Amino acid sequence: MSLSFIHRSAMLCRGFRASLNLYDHTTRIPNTTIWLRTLCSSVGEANTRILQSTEEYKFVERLIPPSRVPIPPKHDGPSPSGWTPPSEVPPALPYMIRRSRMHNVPVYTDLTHGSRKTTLVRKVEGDIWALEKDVKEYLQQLTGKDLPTQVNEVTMTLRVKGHFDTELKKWLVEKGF
Amino acid sequence: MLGVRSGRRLSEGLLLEESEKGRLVVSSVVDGSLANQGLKEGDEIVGATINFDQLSKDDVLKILKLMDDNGFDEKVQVLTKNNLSKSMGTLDSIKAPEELASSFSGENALPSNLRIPSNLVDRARAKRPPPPSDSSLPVLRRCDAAIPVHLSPVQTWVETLERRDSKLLGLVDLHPDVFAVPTRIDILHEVELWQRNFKRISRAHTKVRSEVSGGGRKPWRQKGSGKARHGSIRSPIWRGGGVSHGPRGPTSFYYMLPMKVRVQGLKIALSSKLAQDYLHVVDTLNIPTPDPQYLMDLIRYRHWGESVLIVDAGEELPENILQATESLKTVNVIPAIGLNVHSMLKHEVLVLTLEAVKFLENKLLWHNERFTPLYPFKLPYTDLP
Repeated sequence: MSLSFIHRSAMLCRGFRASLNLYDHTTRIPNTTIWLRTLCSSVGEANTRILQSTEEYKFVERLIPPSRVPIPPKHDGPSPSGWTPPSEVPPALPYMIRRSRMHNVPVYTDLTHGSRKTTLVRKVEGDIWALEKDVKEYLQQLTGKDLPTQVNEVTMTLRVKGHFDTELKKWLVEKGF
Repeated sequence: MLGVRSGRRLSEGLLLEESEKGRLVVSSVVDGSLANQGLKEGDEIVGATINFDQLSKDDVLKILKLMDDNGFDEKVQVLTKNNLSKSMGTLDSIKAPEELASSFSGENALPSNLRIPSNLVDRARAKRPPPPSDSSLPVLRRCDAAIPVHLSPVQTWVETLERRDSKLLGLVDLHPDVFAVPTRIDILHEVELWQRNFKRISRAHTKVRSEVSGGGRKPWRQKGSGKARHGSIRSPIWRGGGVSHGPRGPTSFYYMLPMKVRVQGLKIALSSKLAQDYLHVVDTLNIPTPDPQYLMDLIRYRHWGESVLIVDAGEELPENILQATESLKTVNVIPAIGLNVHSMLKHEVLVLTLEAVKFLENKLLWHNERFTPLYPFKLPYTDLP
């Protein structure tokens, strides 16, 4: 605020000086302090004529972002990008897998030690052991191998050896989670 | 007095029959077993006195459960050691840990060598009469936010502080994502430790050998004096010398747990208070007198607990309750923004007003659906809670 005032006053200063140089050589004021004082008083008079309007605030307000993730619009079945909404009626299973805050299925892959691939299923509620049994059965059909899994009952997560995120996501979406 | 002392057992030697009037009559007695008891054929058994002295805890519970299940309310009289006679109306109000061990399923029974301290269960709270089972009370508040489809809201009663006797005004719906989250004690522990340590600045400071005054000169020559070789009189091995590895200056233990962990801690604390019956919802904090004794009487009458934390939504609290709690050490009032895990763990009971419930739900549920901050949340966004 103060910077802009000085800038404006400097501009007006230059303007004044230019006008005085052009028209009146004799009455040029040599002392710069008196110059600035007269300048301030003239600018003070000009300030009372400035009007403030709040109608332009909307141009700033529309730039302020929202803080909540919006609810996705209604889709019957998968959307063009491939995203499928969860079914309205939760499936009649002993476990429930909630969607993430961005409305996605919470299955994530992990790569540790350079070559250790795991798949993590988060946000499980209910009987996690039943989910583990179902996941093992499904992956047995898929790969033919009995994959090691780890159930963490405290954080309610399931870890499976290997990268199966696309398969598990499709499987969970088919179930209706 | 019937007692199983000597000879054959009572159940073997006695044959009971139900007479036409529905009373128990001794039909036959095996000779020689109960002759000294004085029981004869045709005797009507009216009652029995059972001494619990010799019985184990499980047996006592079995007997009491049997009597409770068959509704022998008026006919049971229990005598304690001090000969005080108490009539146990119902056994529902007792929440003893032994009760968890149902006498009918052997798998859940507590181990026999488990020693339970006598002050584990607050008998005063156990005496609190259970609220009426009929749900004729109106629901005074429903949840504002959307509840997930697979969950349903938890409910609790709304009480009033205007009168001492506990009269319930209605029910209130509480959001399950705030008041019924799975209890993670590790998160509670983390948040409690954080609250204690992040403010800590330890001002312990010791002087190192270079900071201790003096000790610039070599005290005596290196060789020939017969004394040990030393370079300065303030080295750490000298008396009055500097400390080599002591605390150095004001140390800060500041660290921040992620915002979501702290929020989850609050939710878990609220859920555990509700689950343990230590949460009470009140309509407003208007009390009739600024007398602290009124509050203490109310708390003791309703068997709430030892220490109470009262939470209101706004900054302006009624004068009466402020005055009443000013002098009390165990009863405290705070605005809802001041709610924290340490205070909730320190106080036994948590009392929320309806506005405080609404405020807390609004603030805590926002974290479930918010974006990661583009810029700090202290700056304006369109829809902050």
